[in-house]
Amino acid sequence: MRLGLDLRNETGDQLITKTQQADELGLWAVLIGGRSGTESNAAAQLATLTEHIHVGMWIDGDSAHPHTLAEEIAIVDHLSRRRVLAVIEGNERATVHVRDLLAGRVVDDAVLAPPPAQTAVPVWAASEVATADLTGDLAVDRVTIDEYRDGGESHLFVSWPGPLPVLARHLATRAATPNFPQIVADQADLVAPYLGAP
Amino acid sequence: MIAQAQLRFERDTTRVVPAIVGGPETMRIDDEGLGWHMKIGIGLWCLQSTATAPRSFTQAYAELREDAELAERVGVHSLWLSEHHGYYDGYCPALLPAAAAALSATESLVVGTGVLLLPLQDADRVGRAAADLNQRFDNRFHLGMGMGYRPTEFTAKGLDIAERVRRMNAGLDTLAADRPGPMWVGVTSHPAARRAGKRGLGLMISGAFSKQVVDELVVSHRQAWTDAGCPGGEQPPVGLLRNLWIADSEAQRRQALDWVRSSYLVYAGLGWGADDTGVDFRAQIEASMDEVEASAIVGSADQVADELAQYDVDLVIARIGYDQPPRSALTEVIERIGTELVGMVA
Repeated sequence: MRLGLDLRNETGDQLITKTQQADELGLWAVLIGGRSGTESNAAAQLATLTEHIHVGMWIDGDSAHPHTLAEEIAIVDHLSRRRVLAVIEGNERATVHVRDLLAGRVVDDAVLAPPPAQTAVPVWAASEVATADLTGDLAVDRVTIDEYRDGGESHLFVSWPGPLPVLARHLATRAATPNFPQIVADQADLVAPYLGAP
Repeated sequence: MIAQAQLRFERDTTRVVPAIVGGPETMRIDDEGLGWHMKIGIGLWCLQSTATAPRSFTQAYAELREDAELAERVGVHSLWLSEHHGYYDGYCPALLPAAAAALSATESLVVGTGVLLLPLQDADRVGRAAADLNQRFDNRFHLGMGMGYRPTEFTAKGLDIAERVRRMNAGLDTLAADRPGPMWVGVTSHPAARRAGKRGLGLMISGAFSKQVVDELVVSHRQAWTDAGCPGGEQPPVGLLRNLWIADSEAQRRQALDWVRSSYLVYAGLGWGADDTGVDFRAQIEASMDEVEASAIVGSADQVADELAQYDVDLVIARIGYDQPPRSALTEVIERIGTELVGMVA
């Protein structure tokens, strides 16, 4: 299971700083939101300021024509060099419309140009995306991560109140595989401590 | 050469005058108060992969950031993007995220839309996104708007092109009330110039008009602004899009004019599917290319500056974003515009 960082409640410098740190720490993705029309601005800005991390856009499916939403996603995909993903809330028909356009299909006699950079941009309905608010207490959060991972989720976006290195070392690793050898994270805290280590 | 130009730019200790429409910066006057500076921007970045010059879209968007950085470094005022939808060459359909990327890569460059097709969008959403860009990037975003003319672009979004004027006017009213930052209206006609003037919005004049037509459009714009009681308080600026290239030898000049001519193919193709243009694009292509060539300003920086000086405009957008020139030629002309031309017209 891949672990992404839910930053929908972050804005401004905090959003940028956390995204850049998550990028440096190798986290899989961030999920950002914002009022309709501004989420693609933020995604484009973050794409420009990062190298590796996927940029997830949480989009209100009722806020604009699906063709407009698909166009914005496609442009951010190019700007990010194949790192965009989208979560569409609300309108199920909009989700299908956007997904089809991004896949290269003609919809209502219209085609998306340019096509996105990715062969298949991940476009999920909000109901398909697992999210969790972690507590910062590793004993509790380990259980949460294990439950989602063992429950068959492929991706989980978490809000995280603690230092991001802790999330990367203790929980992103744990999410990646069952039977995570906890000793490696615990020993890492001793041999390579970081500010805010538990 | 670059250092010299930067010095000139830094010494341009101009004072800021009140915003034209909502933004803190659109125009400056010189130290002596002798008159308006003519600013030089570059455009139009369309981010295409054309039949003439196929390329990777992802590379095009990477080069947008590089071009914005270069333009800023050499003292160019602004970089302008352009929009179409569903066109074979991937002509950029979503300008605001593209603008966000260019703004993110720079610190002082203005980035604008020349133009965003307002009737295809929800004006409230556009206003919100434009305000967001100005808040994110120190009021460096300028929103230029036009109407669009391709029926297919309207039908793709469930709209009727017959509604475009009504939607344009309603959208401009919304945005003129909300004032999300500096705004311009792209025009090709007197009604459009009046549409901009009476709302106190900047006038952005399309590329291939004669000087006489440009002057007449400026008069219409200013008269409409005056008649409306001078909305905004400051006379709204006038911008002029011009096919332009700096070339020293006759061979370079001919090469640049050939690039200008071939760029018309993009617009012939765009118009091909529009049924209300009244133009037989195939039959008239040579004549149209001749017209485009005739309106282009190509020559040494001195010659270009002399020609631009004839225009009573605040901003010239040097249209250099053709698809045919090699990348080295594009970056060279950006550098020369910044290091040579900007100082001559200021």
